[in-house]
Amino acid sequence: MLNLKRKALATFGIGLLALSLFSCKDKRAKDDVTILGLDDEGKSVVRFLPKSRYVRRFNKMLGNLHGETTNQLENFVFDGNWDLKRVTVGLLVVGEAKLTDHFKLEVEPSFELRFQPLPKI
Amino acid sequence: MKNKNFFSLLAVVIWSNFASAALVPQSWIKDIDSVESFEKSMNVDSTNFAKLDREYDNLLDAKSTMLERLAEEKSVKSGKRKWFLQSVKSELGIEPVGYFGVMGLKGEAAVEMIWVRTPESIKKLQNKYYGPVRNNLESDEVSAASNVDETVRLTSQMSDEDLEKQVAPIVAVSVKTGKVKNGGRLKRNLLKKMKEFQAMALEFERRPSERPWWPYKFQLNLYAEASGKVIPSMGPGISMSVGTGIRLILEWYRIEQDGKDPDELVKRVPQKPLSQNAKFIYAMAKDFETLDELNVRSYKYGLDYIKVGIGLGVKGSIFVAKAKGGVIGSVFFKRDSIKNNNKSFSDVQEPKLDDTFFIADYDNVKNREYAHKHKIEVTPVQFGTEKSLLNEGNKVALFKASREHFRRGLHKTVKMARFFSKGAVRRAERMRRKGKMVHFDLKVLELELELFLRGSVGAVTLEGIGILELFLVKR
Repeated sequence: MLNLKRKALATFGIGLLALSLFSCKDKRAKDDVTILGLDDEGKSVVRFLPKSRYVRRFNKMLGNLHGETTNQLENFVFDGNWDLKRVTVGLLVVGEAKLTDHFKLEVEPSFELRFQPLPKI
Repeated sequence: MKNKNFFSLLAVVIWSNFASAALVPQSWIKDIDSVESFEKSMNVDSTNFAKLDREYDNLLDAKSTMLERLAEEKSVKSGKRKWFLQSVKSELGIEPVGYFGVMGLKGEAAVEMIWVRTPESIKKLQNKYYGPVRNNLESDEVSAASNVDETVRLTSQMSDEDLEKQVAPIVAVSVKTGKVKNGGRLKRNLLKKMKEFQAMALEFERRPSERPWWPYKFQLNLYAEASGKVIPSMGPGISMSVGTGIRLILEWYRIEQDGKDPDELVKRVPQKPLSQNAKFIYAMAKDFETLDELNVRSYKYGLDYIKVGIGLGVKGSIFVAKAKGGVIGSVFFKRDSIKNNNKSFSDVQEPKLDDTFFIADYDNVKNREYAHKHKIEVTPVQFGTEKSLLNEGNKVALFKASREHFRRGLHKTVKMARFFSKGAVRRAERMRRKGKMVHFDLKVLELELELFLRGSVGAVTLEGIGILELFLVKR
């Protein structure tokens, strides 16, 4: 009887842990990244995202953006009178579904990437 | 007994996973009364500060890990690419309750971070594309890029002919792209604005050279409509739902005179009385000396620049702008290096300065009540053409703020700036200890500050508007 109780409690505990780690994003786990924003009515919103997921998602998005931008720049022919020295590209990630299935509010953490021609030696 | 141990362990594990987010001290973001209460709140709440340190470390770790992995991505590492990712700018925000985190949808950032490619990482890329590298190459300037179409750079010594040369290509491109239909009108209006701007910038030439801080750059944001009409506009980063014309920045730079002997300043012939705008600049430069603690040599991040958001009155008078529609330009201040600190400025007879300065904000019930409570003088203003950029029904007034409050507020920000730069230093130390090659270095921390109408200062929250920006640059 005692073993059964212990097993039930252990299962409950593990379930709670899993819940805290993977879905409860109004609350935060130790290493979660806090994401802030304003909603449509101008009220502030606080949500949490596991750090590993933050790194993975944004790494992928910035990697794609980097690839596409540099591809475009390599093939870009500019007006002869102008010298293209610097390009800045902004990344606004709109839509919570891209971050986590549990987000009920839009967040769009922003980054600004600056590209320059690689200086020659 | 075994059960008891199991429950204790479970409780510890669950507790550690439901950690609460740390809050920044209320004194950072609220219009608190005195420096003393701020100091007290900074010293007493050490537990919260330890939590806040961890929170900041965690955010920096997430961003830095992501960027380092990005640099190692196959698509970034491989391919014959002549263009490279030189820097990445990202933002942190403070929510009105005090939560601190990555910026999401909408809102004002409290800290902007510029991560710059390290020389080692650039060298590695050069090695790959051009063969072995012999020279060290530093990354280019790290100033914030803006989302404007054109920047026109002026000095006070440019002639009419020089100005026309500057304008010609802008007009040509604007007409060619179809964004402006009436090129002739654009040229006339733009030249008129440039001359007005140049005349105003002349005031800044008379820098308060006996003080360490001085204005080196002045920007005015303009918007050219399709019809060729040119109006002052809100700066980059502030959304503006106007037509399909072009955004322009008029930018004035001071021409520096090298090899100036500081002792010569004492011998200067007294100039004519300063104008109201020059006094405003002089007073602000003087108040920024409150921040000099941030330039102690041992600090890894030093305060190199300060940016102030400004508005313009109909007659060209400058004031600090807080109402979003009123911020149409910026003055950038720079500090002479410590070694250059003028030994003789105490001997110089300073102009008589006002104890107050003006802040433009919405003339509404909330602000009027605040002004009444703090006994602030209020003067309603009309912006002329700029008014069209404010939301209908939003009137603006000038609130007479106290420089004493301003200086006390700046004193507060020294501790905030130290907090942010210390975290960045901790992160760099951890990376160094790991001994791995670092691709992106956190080079610049831009601390965004809000001004309250009586002149006091706080870190900007999501709902606020950053008026002052402190640029903390890694040494």
